Amino acid sequence: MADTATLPVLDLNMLIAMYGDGSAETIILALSGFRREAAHYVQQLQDAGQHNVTTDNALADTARLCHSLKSMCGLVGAAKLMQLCMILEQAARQHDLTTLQSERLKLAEVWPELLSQLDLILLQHGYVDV
Amino acid sequence: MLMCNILFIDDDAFILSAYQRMLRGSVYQGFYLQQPALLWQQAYLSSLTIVLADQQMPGITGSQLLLKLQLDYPEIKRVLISGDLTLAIKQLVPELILDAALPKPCSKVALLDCLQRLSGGLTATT
Repeated sequence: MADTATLPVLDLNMLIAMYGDGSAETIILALSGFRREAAHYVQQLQDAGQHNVTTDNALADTARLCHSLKSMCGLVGAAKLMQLCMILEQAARQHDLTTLQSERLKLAEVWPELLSQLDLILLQHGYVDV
Repeated sequence: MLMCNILFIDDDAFILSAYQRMLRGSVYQGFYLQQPALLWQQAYLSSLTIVLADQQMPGITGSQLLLKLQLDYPEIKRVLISGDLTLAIKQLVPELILDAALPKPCSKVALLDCLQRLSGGLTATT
């Protein structure tokens, strides 16, 4: 797996390739929708980390959340968060609590960094509701 | 104009909105369902040509849903979408016959190519 630190935070070329369209309308629709939905997923992952629940059900929930978030990231080119989701999903499935705990802390860096990029690109494309 | 009715089933609204965007301006009439359990109540069900279902959904997997669809509506083409396609295909029950499988997320090009093949060569864009 590639090192999370070396990956782009947000790769617009990936979004354009996935949607087959680089219009401002599509970029705004995709990034504003992603921003809204991904925030819920990240919040749930961070909450689960704070409560440090390690039951089978909690780990399955974490794996499911990471799996869904990973796909969403893949659509818009949020490469760094996508990589982190892959690591977290794998750790949750393998009950690797050490990796899960240490990697989950990285959300506190990766998510705000991605949010700033999202807001910047949305503003550049004329979206003012950031 | 000849239209082809396509249904996407995924519990994630953002993913459904992406498919909707990808079908914009195409010959395909898209339907979008976030709650798989409601499939059997949809008035458009018998008019569908292709159903694409996400594998990982709460309550029922995409492959379970497609198997039921195969039994009740065998003429509808079935496509499984999964973030881990290798694992999903390994876990399929032998009774289920898929017409195609797509990775999640999939690009507009891959999606339209798949739909075009399954709809008998309908040109993807108008």
